Amino acid sequence: MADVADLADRADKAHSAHIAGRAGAAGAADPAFRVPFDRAGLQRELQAVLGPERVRSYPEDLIAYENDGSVFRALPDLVVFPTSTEEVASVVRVCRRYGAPVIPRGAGTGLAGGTIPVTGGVLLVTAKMNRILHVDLESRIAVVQPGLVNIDLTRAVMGQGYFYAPDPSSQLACSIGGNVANNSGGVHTLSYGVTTNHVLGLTAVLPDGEVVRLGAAAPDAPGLDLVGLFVGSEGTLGIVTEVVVRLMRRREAVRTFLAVFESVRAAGQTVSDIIASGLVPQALEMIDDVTIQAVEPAVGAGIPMDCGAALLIELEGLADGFDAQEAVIRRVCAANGARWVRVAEDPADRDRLWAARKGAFGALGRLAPNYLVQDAVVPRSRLPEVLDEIRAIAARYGLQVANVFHAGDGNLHPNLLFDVRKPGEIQRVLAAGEEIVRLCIDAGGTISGEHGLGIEKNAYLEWLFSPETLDVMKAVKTAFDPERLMNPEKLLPSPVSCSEFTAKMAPEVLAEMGLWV
Amino acid sequence: MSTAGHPDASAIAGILDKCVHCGFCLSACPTYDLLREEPDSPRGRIALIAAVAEGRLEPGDRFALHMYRCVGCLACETACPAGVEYGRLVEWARALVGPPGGAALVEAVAPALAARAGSRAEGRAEGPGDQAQAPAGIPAEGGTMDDRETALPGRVGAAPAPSLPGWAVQAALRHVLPHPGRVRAAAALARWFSRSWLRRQIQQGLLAGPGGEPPAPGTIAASLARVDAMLPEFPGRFFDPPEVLPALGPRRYRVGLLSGCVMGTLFAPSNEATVTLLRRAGCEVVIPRAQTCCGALNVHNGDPEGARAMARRNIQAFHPDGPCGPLDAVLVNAAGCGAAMKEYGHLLAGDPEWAEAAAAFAARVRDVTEFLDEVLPETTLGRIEPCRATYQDPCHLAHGQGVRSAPRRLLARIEGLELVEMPGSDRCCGSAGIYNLVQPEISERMLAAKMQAVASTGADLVVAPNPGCILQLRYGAQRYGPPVRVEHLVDVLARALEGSGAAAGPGAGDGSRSREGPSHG
Ligand SMILES: Cc1cc2nc3c(=O)[nH]c(=O)nc-3n(C[C@H](O)[C@H](O)[C@H](O)COP(=O)(O)OP(=O)(O)OC[C@H]3O[C@@H](n4cnc5c(N)ncnc54)[C@H](O)[C@@H]3O)c2cc1C
Ligand code: SF4
Ligand code: SF4
Repeated sequence: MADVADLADRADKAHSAHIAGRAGAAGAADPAFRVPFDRAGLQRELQAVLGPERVRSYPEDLIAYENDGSVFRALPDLVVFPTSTEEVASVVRVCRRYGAPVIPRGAGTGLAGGTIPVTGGVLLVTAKMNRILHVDLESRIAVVQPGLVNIDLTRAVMGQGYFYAPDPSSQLACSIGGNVANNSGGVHTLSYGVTTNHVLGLTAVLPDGEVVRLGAAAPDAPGLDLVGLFVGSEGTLGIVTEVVVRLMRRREAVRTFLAVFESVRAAGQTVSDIIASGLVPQALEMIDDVTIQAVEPAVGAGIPMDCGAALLIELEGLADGFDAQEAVIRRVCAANGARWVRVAEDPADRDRLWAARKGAFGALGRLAPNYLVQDAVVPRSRLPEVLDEIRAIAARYGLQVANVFHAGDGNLHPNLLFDVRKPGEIQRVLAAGEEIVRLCIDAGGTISGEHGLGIEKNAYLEWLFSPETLDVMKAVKTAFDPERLMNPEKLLPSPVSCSEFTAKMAPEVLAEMGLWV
Repeated sequence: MSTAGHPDASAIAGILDKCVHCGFCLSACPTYDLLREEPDSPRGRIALIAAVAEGRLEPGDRFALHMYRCVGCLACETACPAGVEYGRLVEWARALVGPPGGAALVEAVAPALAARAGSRAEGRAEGPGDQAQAPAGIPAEGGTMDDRETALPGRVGAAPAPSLPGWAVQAALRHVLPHPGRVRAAAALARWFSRSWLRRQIQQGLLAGPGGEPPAPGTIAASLARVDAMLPEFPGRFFDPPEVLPALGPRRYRVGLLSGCVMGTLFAPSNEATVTLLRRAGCEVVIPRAQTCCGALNVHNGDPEGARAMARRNIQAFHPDGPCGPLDAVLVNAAGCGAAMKEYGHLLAGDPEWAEAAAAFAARVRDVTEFLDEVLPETTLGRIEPCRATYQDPCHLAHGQGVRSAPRRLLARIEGLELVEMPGSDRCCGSAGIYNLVQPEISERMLAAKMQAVASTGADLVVAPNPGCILQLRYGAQRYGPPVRVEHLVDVLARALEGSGAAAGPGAGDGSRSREGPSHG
């Protein structure tokens, strides 16, 4: 343990030095977190590596990359587009020589600001690394580049009866590299697990530019589970450049149900009761009344606009067992006062129902210009009361909340709706968000890593883990990235966590920094 | 917001607010699909427009470049769960920067020149404006001249071609399109040229090597050869019907019809087929001479004022209180025109004198396929020679007007026609108004991908109810294969209703036939 403590201590020192260095360069009173480096020299050298077109610094390029799916924004200094592991390694080496931070970015759908270059630096975009390198259906594996869009993998093997199981609602857009970095879950996580359960191996470029291959083409590789460590590390340990994933065989049949309830509580109770009955559907998702107001006009899934909540329930497997399971579902729904339950008529109908769930976050744009989404897990038995309490918290802060979530896992996504331009609103939103997270933790739950912690939720780690545990995490980070140049200030608690800077800084200061929330 | 913001931004603030940057639109966007860079995606373009609206970014050449690289297919609107009306945003941005010219031209011409000189074009192609444009908080330097994107990122294969020069676009928008007579004169000239001795001389002398081989890629000759290959077949006549044509049989409806610039010149037989179909469906068809071009190209190319003038003329031409009389619907057989005319209410919303009439007009506009699907009661619409057909969703029909099933339902009612869906049928073919002329390289790549999708269906006929798509796909079939026929839906329908299975001249003998064109042959 002494070693770990020592490492952690060094990490802290390195960190303080780092921050001090920055503060010094920017002037003592300047709160800017930007890391200074010779930008022009770096640009020249990167251009020598990638060619001029794949190293960008026009205002138009920087602005287009200043935010992701989250509410934060900050301008990168440069945006680069490598296409191979070797190029990524060269970029990382050059940046390290210049002391410039590197921030990996996939599709930029992350909700916690993981790709926001709060320190400035080079945004390394994997969007052009989107090839499927190898498919072996016999062994049920595929090797892909990290910028491949999640759905494109399934589309490529669908014809042969296979699919890639992790299916975040953002799967039409998000990248497999981003999924790996955030250990993303999906609407079918209930039965298939999260990304880490489907990643067998990785090629990664470490912060010193070294290329490593982790894991193997088979599960249970010997040695330390570095794949497990990398998955969910949010680009703070290195950049994933190739991913070996597991493919799954399509189930024989699916049956999808839409159940409509008068209240969120009743729907929440139904979720508890279904799981308690011993039935594990492949998916069990909830959208509440506020969300339905936004999404039903968008997709026309036939969810009544005046209902309190809707559940999407999906069974997969052998068609034989479906009728018995359907009976259970209908019985539980009826017992909880469901207005009605219907089965998707055909694939198009099923797609529409899923579009209502998967488009839910985006549709919230119809209700308010901004939303802040929390990502917490609570024991399913506590769902109804936690949902009630979340509404109460939002009401206390004068905010509207829209709930859309993976009910089957108790993974909540309360979205606080707001308008960033209204003075003081972001502060209220962040405060309400914190209360919601505390509530979930107090209810025996945890914050989930599904959306990543980024710069938004990294501070919450301190509520969850003991200082000792956090020290181990910091030590690991230091072992990989002693100079703190790889996606700095993300994931682990840091002075740059959003609640810190938004609480302390006036919007004008943030705007001046190029950092908008 | 720390800055004052753009004075005109209030018009789009409400739309910008809806974008939550979720990225759902990325995979729908053909330019993002090809280039995979955020400034060429809907979300990125919206971010740039927002930055201009906030006053953080000057709308300079670089901004214009990204705005004009958008094909305007509106696939992003279909994909967006938040209901962001992207089309209006990009129209706003284009109006701000004016018709394409500078940026697009530089991008297209520079590589050709560079290739000719055997080296990269020298000097800062876009002038020194960059420094001054850098907004607060953004490093001012723009990068070296080398990354001025004289070449498209990730480009493959296709020979660079000069885009249509900016002055030509502007002249066409402002001085030709608003005047039906001039449109005809231009078309007559083009038709004459397409069949002329002069063209053959150019083809043989300039565009081919001594042994008849095609010009080397990257040369201006190669670019001209491309334009030459795109020059369509001209029919022998223009569309020139009487103003009112009675229904065949009892009259059930009274409808107006837009002749269209392209439909009226290059597709006169399809217009005649449309009239025949409508009359057989019990419509009295009114085709007012006072009508003019719909103005879509003007709206999409930064000339909303020109578009408004044209819209007013059309509203008047089809006004129920005017000589034209009351109409059940104003029908359009070109998707781009229909989409634009359905937007007249929005276009003239700020004009108190016209706003109401514009909204009323827009509400009556229907695509001809929507209308026919509704009014043709028969379960079968005749028979044609057995063929395997695939349907291309015109962007401005599927994404712009939400019309997808009506044309398919019509096709399904034709005996002998087997309808096979192609993957990505609603992905843009790269025609997009004048996009294939101002953004030749992206357009070529989109077209190549589209032809691959067509090939995968094994179809021998592609049906596309829009002239731009038809011309582009015919050129694509020639350039990339497969050797498919490409037809307007109305032509296929008219042939089926003829019933013989042979390509009988639609409209023959029922009085709607146009006068022969002035320079036949
Ligand atoms: C509408 C909507 C719905 C969503 N639904 C879900 C859901 O159901 N489940 C879920 O889990 N998430 C969901 N998300 C969140 C988000 O889509 C996921 O976190 C996704 O995995 C992010 O992928 P991305 O490619 O967009 O990554 P980005 O946002 O680009 O990056 C995310 C993080 O990964 C890092 N990163 C990216 N690529 C690499 C790489 N190659 N190597 C190392 N680090 C990298 C980045 O630095 C950043 O920290 C949703 C988001 C939206 C907008
Ligand atoms: S335009 Fe729509 S789909 Fe695209 S990022 Fe904005 S909200 Fe999402
Ligand atoms: S209109 Fe088409 S090309 Fe333009 S941003 Fe939208 S999807 Fe992309």
